[in-house]
Amino acid sequence: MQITVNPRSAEVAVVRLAGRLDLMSAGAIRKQLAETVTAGHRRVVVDLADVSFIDSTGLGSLVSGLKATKQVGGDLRIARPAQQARAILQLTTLDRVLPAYNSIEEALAGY
Amino acid sequence: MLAEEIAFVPATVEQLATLHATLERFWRTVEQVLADPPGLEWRMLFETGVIEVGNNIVRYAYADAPVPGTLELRLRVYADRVEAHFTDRGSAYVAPAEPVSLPLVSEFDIPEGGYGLALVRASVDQFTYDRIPDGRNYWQLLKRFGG
Repeated sequence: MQITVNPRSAEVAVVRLAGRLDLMSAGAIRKQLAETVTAGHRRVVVDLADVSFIDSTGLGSLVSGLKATKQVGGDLRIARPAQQARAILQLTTLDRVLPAYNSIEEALAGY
Repeated sequence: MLAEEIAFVPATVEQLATLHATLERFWRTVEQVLADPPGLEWRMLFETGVIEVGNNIVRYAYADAPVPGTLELRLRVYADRVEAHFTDRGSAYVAPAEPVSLPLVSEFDIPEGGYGLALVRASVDQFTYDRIPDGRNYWQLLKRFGG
């Protein structure tokens, strides 16, 4: 799993993930999202375009990031999830709190 | 049974990638033995179930073991379905008193974990667990074509 953090402003950051978001990487993702929020970026977009697989631990790390942003009055949005990610977001109904945006710019709009 | 793919995998987080590789080989076999193999989204759901069970074994079956144990995975294709059979010799699975079920509820009630097996049930048609008297755990997943 590779993580790239791209601050767009003092409050907004895009976090790009590549690889599998699973039991192996979920802890590191959770930690990085928490650090991104702690650094002041309370509005986060997670770009999932290059994430080939997400399991329940991966979903949990995204939920953890969402909660971290909400605690400081922010938000976390996901962009460009691939087919498998969309399927399990729907199965778990987590798409209700983590709706998928088709592009990073759409996710950033209104931030 | 038309074909079977078998893997013996150390039950560690680092070896979970082997399950993905085993599944990739399995799908190539499925494409060879079936005239009309299932599509990508169908396969993804089965894979999700397989990986979640693998996660469960890695995290819990050998949690108290001094060295990691092994999990055995058999993937089988039939004319009307695929099956995954996991065997390990770790601790018996104990279902939580209040298992998480899908759909998950409102935003701040969403658990950050514990819903892996609920996700398995939503991804396949049959999902069973048995503790065999000789000390083995046996998980079976079944997914029918056309579903």
